Amino acid sequence: MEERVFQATWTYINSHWSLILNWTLQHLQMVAIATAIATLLGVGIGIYIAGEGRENLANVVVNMAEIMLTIPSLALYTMMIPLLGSIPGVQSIGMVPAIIALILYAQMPIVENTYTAIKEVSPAIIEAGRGMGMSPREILLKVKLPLAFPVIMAGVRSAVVMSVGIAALAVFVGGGGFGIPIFRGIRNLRVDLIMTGAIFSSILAVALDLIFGVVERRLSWRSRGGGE
Amino acid sequence: MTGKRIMSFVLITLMVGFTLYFTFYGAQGWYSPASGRDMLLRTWEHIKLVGIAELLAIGVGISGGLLITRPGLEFLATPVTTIANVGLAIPPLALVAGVSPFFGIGPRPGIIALFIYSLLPVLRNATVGIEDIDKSVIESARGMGMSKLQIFTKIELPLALPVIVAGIRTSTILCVGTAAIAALINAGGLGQIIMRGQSVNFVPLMLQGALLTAALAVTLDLFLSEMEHVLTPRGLKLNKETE
Amino acid sequence: MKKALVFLLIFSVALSTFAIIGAAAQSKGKLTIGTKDFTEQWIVGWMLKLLLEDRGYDVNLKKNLPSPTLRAGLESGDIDLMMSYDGTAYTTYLGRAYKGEGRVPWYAFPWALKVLDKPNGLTWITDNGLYVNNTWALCVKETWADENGVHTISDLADYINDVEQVKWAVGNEFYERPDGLPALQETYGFEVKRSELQLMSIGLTMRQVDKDNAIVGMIYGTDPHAKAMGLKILKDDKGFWPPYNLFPVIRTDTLDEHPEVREILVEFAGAFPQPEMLGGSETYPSAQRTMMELNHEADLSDPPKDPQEVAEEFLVEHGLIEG
Repeated sequence: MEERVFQATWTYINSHWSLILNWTLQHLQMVAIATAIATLLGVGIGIYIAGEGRENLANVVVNMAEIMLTIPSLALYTMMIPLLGSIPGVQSIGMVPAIIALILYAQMPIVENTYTAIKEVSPAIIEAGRGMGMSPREILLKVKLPLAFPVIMAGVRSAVVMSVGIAALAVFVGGGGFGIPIFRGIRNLRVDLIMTGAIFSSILAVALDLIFGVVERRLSWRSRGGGE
Repeated sequence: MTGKRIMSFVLITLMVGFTLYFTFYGAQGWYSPASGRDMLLRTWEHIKLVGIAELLAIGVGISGGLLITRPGLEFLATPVTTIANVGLAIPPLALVAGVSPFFGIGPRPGIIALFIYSLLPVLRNATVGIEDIDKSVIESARGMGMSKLQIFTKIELPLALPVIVAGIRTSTILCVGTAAIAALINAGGLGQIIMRGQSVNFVPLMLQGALLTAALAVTLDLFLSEMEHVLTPRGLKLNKETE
Repeated sequence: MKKALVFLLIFSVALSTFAIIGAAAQSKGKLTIGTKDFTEQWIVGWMLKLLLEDRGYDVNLKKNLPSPTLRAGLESGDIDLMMSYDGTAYTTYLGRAYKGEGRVPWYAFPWALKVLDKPNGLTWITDNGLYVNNTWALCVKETWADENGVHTISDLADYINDVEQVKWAVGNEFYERPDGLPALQETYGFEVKRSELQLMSIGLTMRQVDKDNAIVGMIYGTDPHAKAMGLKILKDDKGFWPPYNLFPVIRTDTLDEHPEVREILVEFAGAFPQPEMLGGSETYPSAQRTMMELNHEADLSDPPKDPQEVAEEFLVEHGLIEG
């Protein structure tokens, strides 16, 4: 079987471009919804805990996020399913549980980065803003956030890349994406399916990583250039 | 640091506690949870998978990192770190699945996949750690009459060690998680318990595997971040504290 | 600096728009069909989808669900319709003990399930069925079977008890389920040593046998790989397993809403060979062969066809839809 891996994979890929596109879109859809919500949520939480007098809360949240990130995705995913299933009214099959689990995982790096980035804005700059008569709100929106932006984007980037990897496990709850060919391949001894899923999910992850890398570099260059 | 330590302890205790609870009281109707013996066996398998892959990765990664930072080979450093970074974006499931058509199924292909994956952070950090050492420090050491070997063992290695250990930490955590997925290609380990539970949607069984895997990851993370802390030269600690 | 903020705004808006469009496109379906996670289920799932779409329904097909997740979804209303195996439903979903030893006639199961599942809000449509008997089975290499004279599971039990332990490769589900290995051991009176037992994803088991990493493997009755790999399926001579025939199971409230679906499902199942009501033999070779051929086309033909293609061809061939 092994000798024919490449040939079989190539034949399969060549005749199934539309299906592959379909899987890509399903995969992207999960990742997009999850990271969009996780970004809003994560940045919100990050800003909130970076506020004055919330150091204790911040400590707890950031440490929690750090620890949660070490928990293997398969394990977290597995724990999520019964938890979600016990909430009445929440769909237990399909994209919804897959996405909720993704959101929970993906916001960890975003919270962490947002908090760290805001905290690291130099006190001198904040003082300057205050001196110019800015309200705390203005300081947050016009000084802290723009300066923190590249770091926040770095958090979003790692959230996106992680999500691509984790979304491949969504098949366990009937979600779509590249998990489908991989699992069907393993289940039915189809190397061509396994390889197609593996190759294209990797391409997707690497491509998103590179795109976000470029965006991140651009932004950090700009905010350094424009922020001073 | 202490906050994290306490939270980790609490979490580990909770997770192990629940695992024990499910092991002894998890039976529901026909279905029974994995026995204590089974859990121990699978945990041991998991540790073995991670241990072998990680030790190989540490050996190859550090020596690779040292090699490509030698004068004359430095041009390799940037491409290697880039490749390592890109490689880390590959979903673990894709790697595990992609290995099986070539190497078959069982613990050995599992270890191969784990090794490839855990090699990347070690290699990257070893390279970056040594590259980032202030060149003037090495210059002054040379000025003091140190030999190449002495510079290597007394300056480069100790200074790069915290970064290398950080790489080992990242890599170990990834490895624990990927090993769980490797159960798909019959590599054994705690992932096996998760898959068994998933195949019949029996929650206690799923949780037994998941909680213990998570506990293992958090424990190793805690242990290795302590190591990182201990190994950081005292002079660097003040600067590092902000991170 | 504003540019960065504008970018963030555009980024999230774009992502959410994408998300909403995607979500809207998904929720149009009137009927949600779920399938289990192997080829046969994909094929019958696609058959239902194509057929019902042809008759004017919007169908959402959720593939690849683990069997109990699928059943839970059907009971909770996330899924409207599935193709269910009667033996699985009887022993596993409803948790009934089966010690029939082959004496319970095949047609008793669909009738019993019709009654048993009524309180669960599910309707079994049993006028016609897919009598494919996709049972669990044990396989060994043909050469090994001939050398050691092992042709039935009783033979295997004797071999294990009298000669030696052999290595087993079985699926996770088979190990856990009430109609799986532990009960099988009890019925046939043998015990597999834990150290000889490998658990894995279903599908890898026959590969282990093929590569001599295991002697006995678990396999499905309609799996085409057994034939292709020269594996022998051991006869279940004590009748441990109930039949595993496929019937459409639909939520009663969905059926009340769309009563015409019943006719379509009956017509669909009728496209497979039906046994005679009385005097049907214990297995249904022709329907099983039909299903095995369909599975073969989807997994082993060169190049393999998509389950969707296989399903479409079957429906066209039987005049259920137009090509």
